Amino acid sequence: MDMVVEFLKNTGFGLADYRHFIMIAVGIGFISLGIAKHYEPLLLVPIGFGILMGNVPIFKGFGLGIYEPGSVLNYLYFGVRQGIYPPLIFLGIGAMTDFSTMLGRPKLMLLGAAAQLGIFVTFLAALALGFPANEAASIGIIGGADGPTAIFLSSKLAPELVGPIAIAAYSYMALVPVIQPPIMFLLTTKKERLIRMSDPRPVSKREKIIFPIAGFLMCCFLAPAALPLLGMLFFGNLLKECLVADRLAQTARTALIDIVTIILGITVGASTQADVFLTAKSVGIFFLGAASFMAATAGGILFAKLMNVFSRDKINPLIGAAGVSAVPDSARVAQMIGNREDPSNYLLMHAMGPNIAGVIGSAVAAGVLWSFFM
Amino acid sequence: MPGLSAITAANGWFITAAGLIIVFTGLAVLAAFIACLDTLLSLWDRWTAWLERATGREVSASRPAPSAQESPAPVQPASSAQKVVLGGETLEVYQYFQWLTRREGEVFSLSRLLEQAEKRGIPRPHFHLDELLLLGLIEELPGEDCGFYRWTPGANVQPEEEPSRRTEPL
Repeated sequence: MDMVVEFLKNTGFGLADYRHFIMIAVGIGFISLGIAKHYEPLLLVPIGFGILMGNVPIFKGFGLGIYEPGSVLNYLYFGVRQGIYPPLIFLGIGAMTDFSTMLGRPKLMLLGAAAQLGIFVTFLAALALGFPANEAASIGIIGGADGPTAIFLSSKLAPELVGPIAIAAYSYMALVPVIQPPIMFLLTTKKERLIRMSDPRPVSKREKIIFPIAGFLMCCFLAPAALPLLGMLFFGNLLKECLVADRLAQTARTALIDIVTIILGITVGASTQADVFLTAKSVGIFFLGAASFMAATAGGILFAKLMNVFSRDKINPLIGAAGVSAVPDSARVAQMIGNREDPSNYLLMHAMGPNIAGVIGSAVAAGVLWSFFM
Repeated sequence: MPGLSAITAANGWFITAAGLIIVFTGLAVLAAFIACLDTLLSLWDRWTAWLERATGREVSASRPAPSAQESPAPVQPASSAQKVVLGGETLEVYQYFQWLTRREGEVFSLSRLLEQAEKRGIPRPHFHLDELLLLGLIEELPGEDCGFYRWTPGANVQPEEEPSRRTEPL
């Protein structure tokens, strides 16, 4: 009988406390959002299942948990800790991204820069709330709305916060269609939302080939710490555009990015073990993350309005909201809101410019922050 | 030590200002470069054309093919040639299509060509294919091979000179 009791004590039911159940509920919530609502399913489903894996109560010391050296999950988590997976994801993103809308109207890149305001505002807010500077920088990067960049920077500056920061970043990225519209309505007038933009100029293949090389050199000379992310992003894009390395581009944008996304999602999810995740700090991170997204959205919209003051070729300020990277969801939101005001106004193509510039901008911002705290 | 003093103590104001300036500068420089890129490439084309003329060689197309290693594909240089002038995007797409069909040999399928073009993000492939068919640059094979296409032998494609370039001395 004692053996049976002992066995039952050692099962998950015996070892669990309320925190495990909270996290399991969060994991199921993520999976539900991905499957039922189609919010970033490629990320939320693996992360959600990873949360379930990380929150099954287990014996410490058996080499099962993600934080136990020698465990399978711990080996896979190595890529997160060392910032290996995010650049590989950027390689795939580069190989699947068409930069032509951004190249056709380069001034829209400034909207991608303006939206990075969210990162720095949140950095200041986190400092003011008492977070150490390295943690504040990691929290601020949530405003870049770019999961791999957030994981990369936090793995370098505050490895113990990778879980909460990644979960916050991906949660808010999934919730872009909920977070952004109220801010867009609040900061724009109906007249501004009705602005129709002229078509961008056509972009030649040569420009598309030159851009990743020139863009990489310019950005990385300015912010060398962004090299792992931007190097892979631009390299992936060069593979796509040069046409002579199609097999490599095909692998980068399909098999490679899928494999890395699966491993990254599972390990980041599993890193949210209840005892390390459910802390007051995590609550603070979620609060600041939401503020960061809002500030980033507002930064992009307000800068678009500012550009309209000086420019004859008017910009619909809604596309400023797409400056937070969250590709392509934030561009879709700009299209959706613009389309609601005028069903024949198509903003998606225009919004993709700042959207992609936002990816570059957030990687540069991550590089800058990392270089300050190296 | 929460509050504004914590920001000051961690050099937060300086890091924020420097970070924003670097991000803006980076993207602004990149945007300025992209804005000038088209002009720079036109200047480069003019320079290379001038150089070729100066060295006595025949002026080749004003815009090179997608890859320098590529040889012009199935179109045979014609003697009694039907001369077709193509410019801008159409010329570029014509060159891509040639490059894509080169892998398939002389005879190719239009649906496969379109599929390949869409996969590579070539702009408006259906429109351009229709245009090339109407111009007679692509022709359907007769008889049993009906349904397959090839580049019209003898078609002589000439790049269109841009008006601005014609007026300026080389």
